[in-house]
Amino acid sequence: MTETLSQRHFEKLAKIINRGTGRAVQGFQEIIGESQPYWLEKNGIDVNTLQLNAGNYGVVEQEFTGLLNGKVLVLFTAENVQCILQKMLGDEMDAQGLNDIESEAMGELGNIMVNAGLSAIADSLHVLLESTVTCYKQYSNDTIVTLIQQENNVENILVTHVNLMISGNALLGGKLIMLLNNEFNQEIAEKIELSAT
Amino acid sequence: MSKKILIVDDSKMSRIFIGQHVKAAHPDWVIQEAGSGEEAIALIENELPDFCTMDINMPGMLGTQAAKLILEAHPDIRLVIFSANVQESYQNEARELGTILVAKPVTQASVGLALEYFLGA
Repeated sequence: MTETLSQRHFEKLAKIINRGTGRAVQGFQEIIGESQPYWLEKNGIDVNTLQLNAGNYGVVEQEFTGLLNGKVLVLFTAENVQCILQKMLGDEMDAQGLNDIESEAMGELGNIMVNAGLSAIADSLHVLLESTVTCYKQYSNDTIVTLIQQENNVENILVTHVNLMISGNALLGGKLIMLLNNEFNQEIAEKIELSAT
Repeated sequence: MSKKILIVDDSKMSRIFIGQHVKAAHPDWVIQEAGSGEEAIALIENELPDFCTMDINMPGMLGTQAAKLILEAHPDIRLVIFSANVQESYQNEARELGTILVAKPVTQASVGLALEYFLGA
């Protein structure tokens, strides 16, 4: 049986995740952020509906398990990845140095954002969630869509924009994409109902 | 007096950043690093630190498990859990271990909380 979230469930879930990621983003020195989530049906996704306007992205993947299981992706455009790394690691580091530490640094940034969102869900719904270590790769926008479409049992995709402003520079947009499967939808709907009573 | 601190984190970047903030506040402290709970336990068998920061999500054993083993064997070490995973259950676990959980990201403020805990003993 296919489970999809109602608009009310989605709004509650989005609010919880927003609270967590907002705290994490604001924790970065000189970085602030805000986000406006939206959700999509898996069947309807493409580069336009996911708003993947750039060609290439740095993608952090992390899976979580527990009462709820699923996968989260954190995306930044390749251009923004370079800018974030430069700001995080300082102007002294040359291009080769940045390339060497890109996977490490972006993995940690993604880990912090994903765990903040998951921790907010876990605490709000009184469940325990474990997460795997992160995996970082660079993908084209088409490949990201294909990867999401190939995920089994995924029904909905929750997309949260994350806007980082570093040292007063232009906003560096990223996305936190949560892949919601049948079991997750069923469990989260029940937990949200319970938490409302 | 010079102190020794062991930074346990699978992220090299986090280890570097924590170390930089510690050095900025206490230039004379000696810094050791470990990339996993298992490595930290092995290191401590040979050389006892005064303080320890411990990540949770790492390859191998969870940081909370490593912290429990370390504190059982060496209760004099002052240890903080330093993690992005700030679920209440982990905060409770930290409290049960007699320590605190400091939330990442690694910043001057978050490292400052850890230092305050270390020196408040």
